Amino acid sequence: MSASVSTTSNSYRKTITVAILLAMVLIFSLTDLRHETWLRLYEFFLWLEKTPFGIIGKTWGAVFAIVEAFHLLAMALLGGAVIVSDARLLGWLFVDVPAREILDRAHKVFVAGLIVVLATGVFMACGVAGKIYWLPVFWYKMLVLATGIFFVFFVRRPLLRHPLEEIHPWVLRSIAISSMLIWFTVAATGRWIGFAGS
Amino acid sequence: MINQLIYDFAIWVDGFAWSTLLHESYYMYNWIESTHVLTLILCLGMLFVIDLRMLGYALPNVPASDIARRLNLPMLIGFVVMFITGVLLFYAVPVRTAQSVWFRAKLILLVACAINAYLFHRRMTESVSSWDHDAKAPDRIRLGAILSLAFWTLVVIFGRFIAYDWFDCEYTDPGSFSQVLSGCIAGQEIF
Amino acid sequence: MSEEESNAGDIKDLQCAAVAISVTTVVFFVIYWAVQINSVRELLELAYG
Repeated sequence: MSASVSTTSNSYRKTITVAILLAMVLIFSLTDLRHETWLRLYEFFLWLEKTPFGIIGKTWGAVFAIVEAFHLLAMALLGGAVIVSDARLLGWLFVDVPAREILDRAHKVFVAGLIVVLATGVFMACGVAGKIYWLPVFWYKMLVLATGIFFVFFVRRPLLRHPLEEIHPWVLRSIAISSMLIWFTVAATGRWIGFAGS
Repeated sequence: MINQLIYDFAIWVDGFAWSTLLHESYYMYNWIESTHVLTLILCLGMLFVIDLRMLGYALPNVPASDIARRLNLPMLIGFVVMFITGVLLFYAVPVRTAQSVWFRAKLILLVACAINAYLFHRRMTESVSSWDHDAKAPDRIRLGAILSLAFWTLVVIFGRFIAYDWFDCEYTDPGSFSQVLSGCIAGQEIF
Repeated sequence: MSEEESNAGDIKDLQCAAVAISVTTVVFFVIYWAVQINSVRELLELAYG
């Protein structure tokens, strides 16, 4: 009796967290809070440009370009892991290989790619902080990136640790599709940042 | 002489109305460039997983030939899209691109990638049955994978550098080493 | 038995959370890309008539 009470009180904790976070993001986006926070971040972005990363990025275009190239390469690695993993969930690739094998290994590659993407991204952001602060597309990218990271580590990975047979097929498909959408949009909005300032 | 031939070819391409239209069309050019860059996620993403498998870093328990065979198709689709968009990008700005040190280096590297891929593929089909289930491929295959990773890294870096004008014929001194590398033609009026 | 119930509860919770995020993601992106494509279309109409 007490065991079932304790499981009921623990159940849907993640769903409630997700619902609260979504509500917070909506309230934040649709009220003055967004604009106020953006104004307060101005000093921080000015400071970013004065950091060693910012100075190096602004002074030597070649260094910035090489870091950007590694950002692209890491994106390719991350994208490869996402494609292999999501294609397995959708039953498009490697259907005869145990899903556990594909998902676990691809996740390791994903994490390696993500670390390099974030490190190179921070470097580049420092170099162009004064410009990106004013670009709506940069803020969209940060929102989608944060969503992607939260989604992978808080929901997707914990869920996929369970045997796939215990998960509803449509849940697997929706995870795969939204994962591909999220990471594609992070990449595409990133590319648009490049256009918006030039 | 080769530089003159390349320059003449670029001038000829530049003469087409569509070349100018494409270059001046803000959205079309940017969409083609975006597709070129974003498709590398598909093409290089698949290629990196294959190369990392050979080195034992990705999916080591899946037979190597399975990975190579199944990821080949999406990789080739990505490559074809990148090739077509690359040709269109050249078509839009032929003279500057043809005289870009970075573009020339990138083309040479792409040829090296093709040769490496052919040798890799041939060695793999000859020997794979003996090491398919090993986590790491034999030394020569691993060398091919390392070269592939290195060459493609340089292709992306040089591709990014094409946008910079440090060695452009239009802005460098006549007769300088930079102009020799870029194949600038003395007295050229079109850049 | 309680471990199985806990496991089943976990999976239900995670599945619910996954569906919530996925549906939100798809809706957001449909709206976002529709707005982007529409604004590009309008700009092109403005530029080329």
